[in-house]
Amino acid sequence: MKKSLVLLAALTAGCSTDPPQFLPPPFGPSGPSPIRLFFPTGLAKTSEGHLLVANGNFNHAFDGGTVVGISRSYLDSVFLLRSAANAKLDCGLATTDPGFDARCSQQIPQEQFTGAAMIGNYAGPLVLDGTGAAAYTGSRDSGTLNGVRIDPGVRVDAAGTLHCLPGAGDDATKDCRKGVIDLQPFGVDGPYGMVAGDTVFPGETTPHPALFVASLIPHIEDISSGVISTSSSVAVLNLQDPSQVFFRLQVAQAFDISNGTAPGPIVFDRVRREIYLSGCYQRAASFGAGEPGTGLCVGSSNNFLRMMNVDSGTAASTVWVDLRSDVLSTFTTQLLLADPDPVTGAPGTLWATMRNPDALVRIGLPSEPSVAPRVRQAIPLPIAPADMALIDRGSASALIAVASQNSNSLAVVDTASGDVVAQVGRLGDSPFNVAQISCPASADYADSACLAVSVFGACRVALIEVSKTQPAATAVRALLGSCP
Amino acid sequence: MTGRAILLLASAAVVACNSAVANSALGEFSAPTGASATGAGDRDVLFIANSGRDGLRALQLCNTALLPNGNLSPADTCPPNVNGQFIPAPIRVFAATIETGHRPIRVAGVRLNRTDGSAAGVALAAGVDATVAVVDARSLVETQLTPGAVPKDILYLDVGARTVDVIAANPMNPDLDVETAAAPGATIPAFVATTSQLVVLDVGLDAGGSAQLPAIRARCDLAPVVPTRIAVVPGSPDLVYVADGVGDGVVSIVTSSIAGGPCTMHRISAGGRSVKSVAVSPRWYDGVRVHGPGDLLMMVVEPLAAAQPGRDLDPGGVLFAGTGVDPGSPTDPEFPEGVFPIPPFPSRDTTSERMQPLSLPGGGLMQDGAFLRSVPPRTAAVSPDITPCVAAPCTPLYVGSPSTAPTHNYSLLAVAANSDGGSYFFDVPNRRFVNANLYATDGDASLTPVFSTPVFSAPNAAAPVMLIDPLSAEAGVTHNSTWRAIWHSPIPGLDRRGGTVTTTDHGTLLFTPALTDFTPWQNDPAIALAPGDFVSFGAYTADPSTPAACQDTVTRESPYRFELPILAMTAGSMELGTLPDVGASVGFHPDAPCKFGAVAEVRTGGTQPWLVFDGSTARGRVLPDNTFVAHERRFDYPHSTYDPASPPVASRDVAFTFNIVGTNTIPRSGFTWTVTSGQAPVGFNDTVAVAVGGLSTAVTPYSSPRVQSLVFTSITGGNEVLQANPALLASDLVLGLVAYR
Repeated sequence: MKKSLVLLAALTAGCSTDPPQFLPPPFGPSGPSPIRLFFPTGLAKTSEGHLLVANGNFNHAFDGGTVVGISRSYLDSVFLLRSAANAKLDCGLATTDPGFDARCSQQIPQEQFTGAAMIGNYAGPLVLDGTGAAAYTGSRDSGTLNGVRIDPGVRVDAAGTLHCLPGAGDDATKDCRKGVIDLQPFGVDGPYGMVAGDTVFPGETTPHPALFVASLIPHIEDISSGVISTSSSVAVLNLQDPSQVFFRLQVAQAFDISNGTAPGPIVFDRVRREIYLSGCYQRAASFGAGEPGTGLCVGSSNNFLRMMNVDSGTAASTVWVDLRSDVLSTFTTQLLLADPDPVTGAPGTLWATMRNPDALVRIGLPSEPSVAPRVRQAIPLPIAPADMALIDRGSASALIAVASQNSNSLAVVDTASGDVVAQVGRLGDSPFNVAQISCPASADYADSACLAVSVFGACRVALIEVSKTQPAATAVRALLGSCP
Repeated sequence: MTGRAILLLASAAVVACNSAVANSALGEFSAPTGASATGAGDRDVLFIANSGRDGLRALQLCNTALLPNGNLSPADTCPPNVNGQFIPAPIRVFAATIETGHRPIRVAGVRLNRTDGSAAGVALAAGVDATVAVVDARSLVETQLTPGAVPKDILYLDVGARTVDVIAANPMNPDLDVETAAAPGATIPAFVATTSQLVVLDVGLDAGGSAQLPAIRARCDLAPVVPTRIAVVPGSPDLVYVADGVGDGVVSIVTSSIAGGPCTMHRISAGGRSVKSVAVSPRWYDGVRVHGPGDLLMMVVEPLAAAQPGRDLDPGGVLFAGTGVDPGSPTDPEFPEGVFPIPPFPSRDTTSERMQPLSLPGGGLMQDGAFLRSVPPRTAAVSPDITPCVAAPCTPLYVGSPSTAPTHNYSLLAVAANSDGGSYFFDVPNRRFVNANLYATDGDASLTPVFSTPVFSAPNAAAPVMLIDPLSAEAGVTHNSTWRAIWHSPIPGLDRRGGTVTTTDHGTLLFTPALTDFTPWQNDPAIALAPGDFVSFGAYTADPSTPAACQDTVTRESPYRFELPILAMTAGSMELGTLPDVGASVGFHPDAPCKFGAVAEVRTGGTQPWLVFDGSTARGRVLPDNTFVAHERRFDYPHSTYDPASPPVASRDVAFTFNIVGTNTIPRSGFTWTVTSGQAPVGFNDTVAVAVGGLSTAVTPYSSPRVQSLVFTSITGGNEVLQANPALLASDLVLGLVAYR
């Protein structure tokens, strides 16, 4: 009898039609494997200073991506490495350079990962909730919002500090690919840009913490005689429980000035009570096979900045400002608010990284409501600028660090002069996202800002020190991880 | 780099001057910026900062004078097949990267001669660190000619602080008005602006005729000036102009006064604006006298920081100014110090209003500027001026209009690079853009702005009519734009706001939005939000704590069905009137007590219900008599003449006027019309290639005994360099415009 049961079980297994699972490391693909980075994109610093990295799985080598954590103590230790001459490591040198220190390029020790959790594919920017207890990123192929719970501590137990949020997957196996919510029913087919903020419902006075999630993929409303009509929405989610949708903001409709195109990055202006979006993506049969794909707008003659009030619910309307007469780009990769008014706190500047032309663009946000935002300065940048980070220097002008995707470098711009005051290279293939992290508590780093840059094609994170007093001394301090 | 040509379709000129098929060498540019030429043997080498690749590119330009008939001289040893080609890398299909490191931004070519009289120039490159890279141009040229040879090492001079700009005071050939080399073995002064100092260098060759580290002659502290660019008088090392990126205008510093400590500076105002680029005029000829060099400044000024309600944000632009230096008339300079007066007032007029910055009629930010070589009048052909021009003005520019005589001569031209990727020419003495439409018809007729017919958004038999007065338009003031006049318009920046509505004890409603302060809209004169304006509700949320009748009233409402007048307002709330029932028409008058949530669209009303928009900027409200005067910022002085009795002063900068006849009843309906400035600034850009969009940052004029005039524009954001021949532009599809990528 026992033998029969075994035989039956074997036959049943043999008849299974489920395809094999290729889980991402460390969960697979064939049994547990070391944690590593693969197509890293989004970055976030936890409240304890650990670095979270979203792995995008862009080549579909696995059945999903991951979010992994790297401990602050390890990052500190790498920043503090010294050469034989007792100098900080300069890891921007060519590997063939005699001065290149082999410790510059290293694998992250397994014990220095604070945890790992599975998420969907194509992770984009990583956003923390207000308390730092959860991190979110979108999956553009499924329309899913991924959510990972962050437990305090370095590594509480063998399970690590990263877990699935309730309802977002099987926490026992760290399989959070189910996601917090499918946003496609809300017109957000390809969640990408997202920002934490708040909203006040009409009739109320208390702001509700909210997560604004924009879609890179326009939503198809109709296909008539081969003509695709699309719209684009921003889902406004309860930041305390993003499975709840407060409402959706329609940022583009099929027959408005944008032709239903979708934006890229998004930022939140708490004082003006607005979100700003920029960039242009469209759907076309030529971009996809079968289903219409999504790509950068072709032949567009506008460079729209879109603005929407966040306290009007679904009644909010989009305000459009065309920036193209000053800068002829249609491709915005990131936005960043700066220069708050000392009285009202309203930001006076919206920085944008744009491509073709490759530039860091300063957009003035006048305090006079009759005056529309306009480009005030266009600073040329190395090829294909991507994400950026603002580095505050107190009474001195702020710096902005910009990753340059196609030149494998990071440029540092002085916002007062508009000059690129530092540029470090050899980060690896396609630097993408930038996050400011904590510097080591060392006198050596007292006047520095420390940055982590996800290097998409090189499966690594680059650590960079920016001197606040001498920005030209910006240097690469480590290159962590590599592709197999 | 075998010289394999790539075929490029490019277009010159903004207006109608399209085309140009250009053969160009591959430069593999990544964010090119500053450029400058120096001599090396039998040719010039134009060094271009390839900032994205931490190096320079070196473009070879043969420079031996042509024969009077325009043919090559038999004595010219520069091979024609290297002209316009980059010095190659060891793998010759690629351009050599001259690795100066540290993101070079600015370059200065220093023209030096060896003791044998042969040219052996040096390039100085300034980047993001505290060093100046010194590149030996001669060895680069010789390396490509001699198998196995290697170029001289790049030298680095530490100047103590981050470099901002570098320039060399090369001598000028007094017969040709082109740069020439120093006497054999002599040094040439060069100047470096760092973030804090002006440093004077003496640049020379070593005993072997190669580049050596320059000697620092002197330095001085620039504070409070924050330098952005520096310039010297062509052919003279005696005076340096420093553009101030924070203060007003530029400062001049006498070289001999530089001796440590604070610089002794004299400031030339730009009308309160800071300056991002400065250039000094060369010697020039206007048919009356020979001017300069050094009597004029070209300043590219920054946008004004402050916004003016009802106006779009200022873009900055180009100003021309006198330096007050006039060797021919030192006590009564033809161009006294300061920004030019507005036309038609002569340059000596120091009391009339000053000119406004010149900018494009449709947008864009001027980035960098330079003067072009002024062609001297001659009776016989002398290279590079093969076509004799007996009387000034003699500097040719292909304008394209009229078709029968598309090329015009000017006494002094300047060119500026713009953020839209184009470069545009200026007729300097006339303080205006070179404008194709000026020549299109007689009497400046083609300069007149053009208006489309206003289209009403809700056509009906009783619709109002808009009448634009075309005679009120002013060339040089009226911009290209799309305008709207909206009746009961949503108020920009405020348009829809969520809030709470409660009934009051005196039959009105109180709307209180969350986290909104109305003060900016009340204080903005172009909007002037005030009682009399309207609110229309677009969404309702019933409050369960209120009486059922209230809830019922709210839940039955539809969006934007009615407008309620604003009776009074504070910074945080609006008191609204109710709407009584009239016959069968249902009003809106909830019985007290009632409280509900609503999204309010705030609209213009009262005695001035029309709000006028220029693009996205609200210009103001139509007056109660239904007239509107559109004031705009002047961007050019395009007319051939101006009446001294009615000069183009800023207070009269009226773009056009209109009035609206009839009444409107449909909220948010209105007129849309487009305005075309009538101006066609002459310039060039690349509108076809991959680099569309551009973002030009640096413009470099070039002349030599062979080349009358070329302009190199670094399309930094498009990763290419455009070479333009001003005399040809779109008229010559091969030589008019060449793109290097």
